[in-house]
Amino acid sequence: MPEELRPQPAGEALAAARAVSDPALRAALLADRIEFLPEGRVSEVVGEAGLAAREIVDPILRAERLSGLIPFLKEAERLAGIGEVLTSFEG
Amino acid sequence: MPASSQPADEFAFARALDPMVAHMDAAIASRALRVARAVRDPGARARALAVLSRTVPEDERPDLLEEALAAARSIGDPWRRVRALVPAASRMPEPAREALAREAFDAAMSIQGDWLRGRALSMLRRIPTAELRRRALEAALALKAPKERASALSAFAGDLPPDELERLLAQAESIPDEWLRQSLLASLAEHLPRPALERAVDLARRLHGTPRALALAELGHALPDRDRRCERTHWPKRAAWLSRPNERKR
Repeated sequence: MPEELRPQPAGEALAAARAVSDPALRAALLADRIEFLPEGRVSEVVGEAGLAAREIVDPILRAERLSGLIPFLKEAERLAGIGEVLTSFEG
Repeated sequence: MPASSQPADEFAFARALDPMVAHMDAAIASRALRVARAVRDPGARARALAVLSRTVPEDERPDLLEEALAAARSIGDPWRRVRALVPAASRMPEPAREALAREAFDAAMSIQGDWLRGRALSMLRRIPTAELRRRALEAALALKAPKERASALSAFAGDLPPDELERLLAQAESIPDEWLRQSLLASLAEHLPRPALERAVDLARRLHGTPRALALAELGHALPDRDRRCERTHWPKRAAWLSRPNERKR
């Protein structure tokens, strides 16, 4: 298999995502890694992505990024999360 | 939606619903529906209502989808109308879907210009009817502009004969826009025979930055297991937000 086609180690991709300074991009990159994480690390990275999303100044973009994390939240937290996203669009 | 909201925000609402809709209870769904009905842009409203149709009981779904279709039909511009029709049409039960497929196809064919017509034809693939698929593919094959034709045809890669796939791959080489080239390679990836797949990998290597990473990841998924060896689940996922260059910089 060509070297360039080998998968990046998950940890390296996660480190690269964490190093991004723009919070909107960081939130998206972290969210993009979540489904590849072992179950024990999911909540840690969801939390990081959520914190990055909360740094976003534009409320609509913030809500959009938060919405992408909803499927990864614990069931008990999901409805509150959806409610928060909806509030941003209710104005 | 707040009175000051822009159409871009209203489309953001429709996009935000996608990952949330499966987790809504009746009260939250009803609240989301109120927001959706307040969306002023008919295209964004149609999309939001179509997504939310999943949250209502099955016997209420056709009415909600009709509401989405009415919003879509109010759009004069045929490209925007196709975009608004497709999410509702693809969720409609089968008997109604056939007529909607024809309506969406006619709207697509009334679009002037190969670029938007090609994009609309690609989008029609999401409405699962055999007749529409055949007609849309024929219309994509008939596009004159090579780049636009290639882009539209790539959505139908699974239906194309090997020689047409080869031609598309050859065309990908001449496309200067790296996002478009990446998109073409990604669409072809699963359908290319082995020698062509290797050529596609070479083409992907000549891209830069994110398009390069995405193209290599998609082509990596298409490689036979014996060549993949490493755990497939660690490949970078093709992220929806990365496939929308216009929205990346928001």
